Amino acid sequence: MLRFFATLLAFIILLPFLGLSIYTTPSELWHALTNPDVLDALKNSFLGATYATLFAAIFAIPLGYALARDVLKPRKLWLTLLNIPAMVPHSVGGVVILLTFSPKYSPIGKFFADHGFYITGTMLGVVLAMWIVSVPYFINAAYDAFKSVPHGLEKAAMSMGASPLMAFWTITLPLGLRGLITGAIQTWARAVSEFGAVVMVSYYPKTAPVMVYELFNNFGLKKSIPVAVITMTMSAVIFITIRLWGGKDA
Amino acid sequence: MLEVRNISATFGNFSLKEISFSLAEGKHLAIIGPTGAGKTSLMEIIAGVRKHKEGEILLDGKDISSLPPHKRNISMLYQHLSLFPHYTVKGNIVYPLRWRKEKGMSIHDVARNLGIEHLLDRRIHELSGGEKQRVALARALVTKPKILMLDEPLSAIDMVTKEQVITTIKHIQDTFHLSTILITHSPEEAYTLADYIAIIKNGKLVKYDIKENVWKNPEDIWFAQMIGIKNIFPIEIWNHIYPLVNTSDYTHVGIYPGDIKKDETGLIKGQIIEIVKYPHHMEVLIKTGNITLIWQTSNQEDVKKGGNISISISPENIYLLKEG
Repeated sequence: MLRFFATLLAFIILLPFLGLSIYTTPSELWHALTNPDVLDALKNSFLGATYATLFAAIFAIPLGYALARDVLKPRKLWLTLLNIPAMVPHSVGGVVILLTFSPKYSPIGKFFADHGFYITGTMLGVVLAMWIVSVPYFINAAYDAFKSVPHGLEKAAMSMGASPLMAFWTITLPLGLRGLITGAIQTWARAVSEFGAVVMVSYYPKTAPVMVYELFNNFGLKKSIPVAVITMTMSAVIFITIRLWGGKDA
Repeated sequence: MLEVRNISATFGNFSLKEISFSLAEGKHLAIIGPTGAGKTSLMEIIAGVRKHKEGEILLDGKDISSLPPHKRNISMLYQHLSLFPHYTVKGNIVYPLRWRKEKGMSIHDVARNLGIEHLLDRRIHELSGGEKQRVALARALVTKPKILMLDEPLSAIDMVTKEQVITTIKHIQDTFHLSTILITHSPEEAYTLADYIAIIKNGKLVKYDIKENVWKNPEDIWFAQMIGIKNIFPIEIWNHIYPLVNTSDYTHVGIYPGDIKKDETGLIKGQIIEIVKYPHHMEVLIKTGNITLIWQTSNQEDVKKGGNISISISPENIYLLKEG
């Protein structure tokens, strides 16, 4: 009985996505796939999400570890605060990034602009927008991953002569790796799908979600479907491949 | 020779207070105390995993207080063994050697000595409880430590494995010519594996002596409970069973379960109300007057639940205890 209901519920979620492809034709798909603008948008999405994930890892791994080992206290408060970017509407995330990194509004933005880094209309802006909304996923996953590694193992490694850094490198990191991979996948998937923050911060260079929105806005639903199908299929293929590579629990 | 001098340390609300003792080379110490008394903290300070505020630790006359753990020549085995699940048995044993310049024992020698040579390529999750204990011991011994510290090595294992581990620890004590420091809740384990007993209460060392002296001199009720005296009764109740003289400074009597003897001519008569069997002994609960005595005896003893019994207790085995 439970299996029947679970299958039914799963289909209710998945069917609209699986059904999306029947609203387009192979020739429309081919036309979209050979359009340099579409390919650029896909490249920007996937590359931007990859950079955002790497950037998120730099923050999430030390933060997740510090939270798991109660170095950052009070833990619950910090975890709640660090999840704010995921909880607020993503357009708000875009506003925050603009206010923080635009040379017009903040000294930080001015500092970056003076050194040649602009966020409006640049790939840097896209990556920053993706990063701000997806980094909480990585922090949460890193926290769970490190929390699952008993602190006693690190203490034992240190009692045998490993430095704290080497104890982390040889014990905690390998044992938490699966959880970190899960976090990276979630972060990457969230970053690829980001629209609100990206469109606020950097409309150009266009990402796939922005292009789908633009095609829908200018030419109607029919024209946006092929790009939507391609984006969804490629995301799914990459997502499934990483999951399989990361093992069954990733 | 290990010398611990006036060690004090504070961890949150808990503190260790001026702990001092010495342990001669090749001698074995058991530290007994209730949960939270500071046993593991003291051990971690000696191992160098925790920092202390005051005091010194000397090994063979050399102050090792400020040395990192791997330079102290002391190995520590945690209660939960802390084997690394992502390494093989061999990877685990070799781990401590990765961080030190000095040559340790050959992996094969230590593995052969502990009977785990055939397990070297196995993963940790493929091992039995007893095998895991031996792997953890091999990892602790591979660096040729002068002192091996064991944090409750027998607490989380089944009875059969416990016997194997006791045998293995005995074998290590005899073969590797090192001192061992054992943390335990169990007086029996302490008596079996140690020459000296240290008792810790609320962060203070309240007793340190050779085991025979500790066992024969329980001072108060708390102390008696720590060293396995299970029969503790107020003197006025005990006097109805077996009158005592000169008890003015004391409030209770204590009797080890093993000091009670079945004796047809014994003055204490009672009824057997329960029999609890263990692999190598049994505990018999005897109701006499208003009290229930616990008698520990061999499994071979012919006793029946509900039957009557006469017992005797030698006067020198009835310990007078103060409140505490």
